[in-house]
Amino acid sequence: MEPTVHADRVADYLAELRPHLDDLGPSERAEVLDELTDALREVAAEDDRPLREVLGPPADYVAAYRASAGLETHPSQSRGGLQTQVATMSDTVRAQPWWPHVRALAELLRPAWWTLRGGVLAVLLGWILLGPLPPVIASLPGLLFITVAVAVSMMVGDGRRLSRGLRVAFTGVNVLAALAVLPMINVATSGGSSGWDAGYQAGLDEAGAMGAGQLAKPSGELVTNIHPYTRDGEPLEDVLLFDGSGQPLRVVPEGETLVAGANNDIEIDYDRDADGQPITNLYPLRQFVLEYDDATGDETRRPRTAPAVVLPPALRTDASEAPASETAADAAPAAAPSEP
Amino acid sequence: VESQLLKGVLDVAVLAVLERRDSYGYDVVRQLREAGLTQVGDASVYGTLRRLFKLGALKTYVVPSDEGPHRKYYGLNAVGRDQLESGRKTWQAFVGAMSVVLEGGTT
Repeated sequence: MEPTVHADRVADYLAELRPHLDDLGPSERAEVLDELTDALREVAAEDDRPLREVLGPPADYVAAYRASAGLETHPSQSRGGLQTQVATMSDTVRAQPWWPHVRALAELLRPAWWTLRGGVLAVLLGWILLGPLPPVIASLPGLLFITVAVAVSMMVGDGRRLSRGLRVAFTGVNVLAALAVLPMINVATSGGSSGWDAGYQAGLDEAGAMGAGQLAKPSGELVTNIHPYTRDGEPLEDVLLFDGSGQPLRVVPEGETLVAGANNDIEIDYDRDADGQPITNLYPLRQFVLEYDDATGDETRRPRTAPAVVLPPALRTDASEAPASETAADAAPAAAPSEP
Repeated sequence: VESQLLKGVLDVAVLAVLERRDSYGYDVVRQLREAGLTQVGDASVYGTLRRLFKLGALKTYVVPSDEGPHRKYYGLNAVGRDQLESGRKTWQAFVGAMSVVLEGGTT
């Protein structure tokens, strides 16, 4: 007979039998149902008749099982619609030919789960009490704590020896550990960073991405402005620059802010074209330094002056001539950036 | 009558079957029936196996099978062997006593 036909017959009988086990605890009921499913499957494989005919009414079958198993019978508790649906689905799954394989695998993996559960709960508790993950894991007391938690988890096992009252809490702990596994693995594989660390890393990544879009000197220092000069040392203004592919040469991607230091940003006041669009490759850029005072919360805005530059000696026609402006804050020399 | 009698001796009967070889539930049922206990019920045997296991008299393990479903095997441990030995003595004493009663005081 086809396994699916067996499965249907087994599922039908289980559905009738299950309500007579409702008074058992969830874990015990699951165990009993697994055992009875095995038993029914064996009978179904050997006898083509309906199981009710072979084994008698499910109520009698369960009564005989419970009497010999020493399971006291309690008044049956009525189930709600959802519970009944879940129970029916559960019966159908249990009756499938592949279910015993899945269950056997689950049995084999139980000690691994107990170990994982202990570790996850220890790290979770350490995280809640002490903060980020690395201090919990990377310290001797932390490792000892995890070891003890794993040992306790192994001893508790499937909670069979716990009292009925404790089993509810135990189920909650299991669910918590199961829910925490994936996020914890995610955090662990991303370098064990805490929320703050992750935020800091994200900031660094963002800064890196921003830097990647900006012009940079070979040293890695970002170019914040370009100051062109004639060979005679005369500063030029309103110079449009383009790169080797003919694209406007920009020192900062559109929409990005230049950061000059811990407490100041550089604001760029672009000239506008006839359509009102900023001309982003017109140099030198007109810039302002915004400074924040942490103590007072005040913000000041001052023009960013051109830096002092030194022209190549061979180009100097008159050694007494001084180069252009002197008050700059920008360390960038007048060297034009290399092509991208 | 047989089923009533079985209730009192099912524990020791199941232990005796498992003493010969480790078996899964349905195999225990089959062996008991083949031995002549035709009235033994599947459910009673499975229930007995569960109770004996809970009492610590049995070990259990799952045997993978390529052809059919994995099976949960039961076998005796030291506690089970002690219990079987004790049950045997009790049964033999009981049979002896019943023989005296049924056969009019002769053994």
